[in-house]
Amino acid sequence: MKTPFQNQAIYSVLLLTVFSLAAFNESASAQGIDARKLKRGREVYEHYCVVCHGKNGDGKGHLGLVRYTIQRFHKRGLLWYFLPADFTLGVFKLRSTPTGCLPTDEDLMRTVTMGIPRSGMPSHKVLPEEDRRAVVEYIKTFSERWQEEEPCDSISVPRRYAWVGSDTSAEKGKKLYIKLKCWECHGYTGEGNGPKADRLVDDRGNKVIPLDFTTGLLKRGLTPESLYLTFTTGFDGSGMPSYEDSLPDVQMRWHLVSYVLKLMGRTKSITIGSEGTLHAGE
Amino acid sequence: MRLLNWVLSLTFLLLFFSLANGYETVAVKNGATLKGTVVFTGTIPPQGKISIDRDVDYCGKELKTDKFIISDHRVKNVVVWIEGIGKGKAVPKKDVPIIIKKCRVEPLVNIGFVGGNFLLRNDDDILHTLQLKLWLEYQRHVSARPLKYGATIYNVALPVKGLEVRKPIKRYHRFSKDTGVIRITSNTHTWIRGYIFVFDHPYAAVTDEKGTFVITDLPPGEYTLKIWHEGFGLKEKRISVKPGETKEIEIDLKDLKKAETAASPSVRFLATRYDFGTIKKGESVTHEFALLNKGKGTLRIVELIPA
Ligand code: HEC
Ligand code: HEC
Repeated sequence: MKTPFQNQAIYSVLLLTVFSLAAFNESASAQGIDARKLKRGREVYEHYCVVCHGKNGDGKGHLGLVRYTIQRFHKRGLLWYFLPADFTLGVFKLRSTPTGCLPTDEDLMRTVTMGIPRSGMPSHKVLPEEDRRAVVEYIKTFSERWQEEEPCDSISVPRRYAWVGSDTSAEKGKKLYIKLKCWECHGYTGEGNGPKADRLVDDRGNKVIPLDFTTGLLKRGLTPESLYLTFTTGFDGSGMPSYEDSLPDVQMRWHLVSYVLKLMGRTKSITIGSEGTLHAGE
Repeated sequence: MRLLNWVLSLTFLLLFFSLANGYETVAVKNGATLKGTVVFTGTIPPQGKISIDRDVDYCGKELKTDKFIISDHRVKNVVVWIEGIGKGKAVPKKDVPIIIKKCRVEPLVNIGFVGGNFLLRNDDDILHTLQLKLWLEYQRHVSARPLKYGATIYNVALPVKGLEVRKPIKRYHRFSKDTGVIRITSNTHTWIRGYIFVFDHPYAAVTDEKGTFVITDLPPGEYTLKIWHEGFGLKEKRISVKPGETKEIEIDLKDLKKAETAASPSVRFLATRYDFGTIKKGESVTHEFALLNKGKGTLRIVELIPA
């Protein structure tokens, strides 16, 4: 004779099995969608990205074999070259998230959509959004880091003040540029020729060069908001460090943006430009 | 019905996560204490020097490497840990200080635990930037482009003297044979170095000046003790502890054999022929060489540096 307790136990084990099957089925169907998305992502990747980023995602595509997508001599005779990103590292430069975090899907979407002008990565605006989302999902399969952690929350960029780009603001920004030692890498005049400029290396020991602000092209795209994010988040895997903790004040961050805009000779276009939209070539 | 289903899925998910997380916290009754001393009875390797080429006014022209801090045979800065321990006492949440003082990192070797923080501080009057890099062993097998010290996990500017910056220690940072150590590097001052081992269990320690370490509340059993030192490399030793005992051990780094790793090939140039002479503008010069790998590991030649 079974005790009522045993009966109950058997019953709950049965229930558990049934429900776990149900749960399994549900997640299996979710996986079905994922699998389809990944399959599409792979197709897009192998059509559009593989030439640079390589079949294994390590940045050794056909162009990667030639090694340097863009190669040119800097004014001071420094070699300036870029290698397609190696997705097996799980390290990203263009994030809205703090240093040490993965980028959000939207960050990756932005990179894929806009491209990275200074590095020779083309824009993929022409692709349907669904394909871009699929390829973003696919490049996450190259690094185990995506299974280990979630991207952090984005650092929010507060609404730009009307005075951003003004002379008084740029004057305040200049003091910060000196105090925070941006000049040690980017140079007093912003030409990328500071005393530490020839020192910087990436994770492989390849040289990286601080941006010469007078040349114009930004990896993150030419908006005041993107400048704000660049020194706040830093570029992981490159020489550009995060100033999130050393410059916590929002107004001061905008003053620094003003000064960088001034070094770039862009203060005019911003005061007349519409909210948050300043495109390369304007 | 749907709710129940949902609750159950959640339970499974939680169950899954607790399994996937590897380390389980349990009450340790009758735990053992392991008291160790790490010594080196061989001839002490010479203390190296680093010459400095940036901010010399501030940092000085030369620094000691402090790779071998050994007095009376006792070795400082040795990391010891119990390999692969699955359960035991709670993991401490603590700050791991990374202080730059006089252009070097203090402490040079440290351990951290998942859930704690890296605490970065610049005690110097000059700009330092710190990059923490995770060795990422597994990545080296899937990518044809090798890393130098590892993949960046933090890249922080420390332009203001005394400012403290805390960054979380994540599970992703933990040490395993597939991931490896975290190396502290500085882009602006290339000689700056430091090492951090992150664990997801609490059974790890670093030796002090007297070469001693203590590991407490260790559940009785047999374990592999791993031992790492910057100069002597990675070694291991089997140990066993009985309930409630205080076990004292002495580890002589000289007696323990260094593990042969794939990272230890040995190269001999067989033949090399240069023909420089004079080159006119637009002409190029070719250079042939032959290599022989005499070591145990595979030697991969991956990149030719143009500059
Ligand atoms: C012409 C070569 C080229 C093509 C084609 C290309 N990329 Fe890139 N990509 C690059 C280069 C070069 C970089 C490195 C930029 C840098 O580090 O400055 C890069 C970097 C990236 C990054 C990393 C950005 C970061 O935050 O660090 C992502 C993501 C990316 N590419 C996605 C893609 C995807 C997806 C495609 C296909 C739809 C693609 N790329 C096609 C050259 C290319
Ligand atoms: C340790 C050297 C270093 C310091 C200090 C430094 N930078 Fe940079 N910065 C770099 C490097 C290197 C790059 C280029 C990164 C790349 O191309 O991947 C860069 C790039 C940039 C860019 C271009 C981003 C883009 O979208 O292409 C901006 C803007 C910038 N830095 C602003 C600043 C400001 C403002 C400061 C001071 C608060 C600063 N940097 C301090 C090294 C530095």
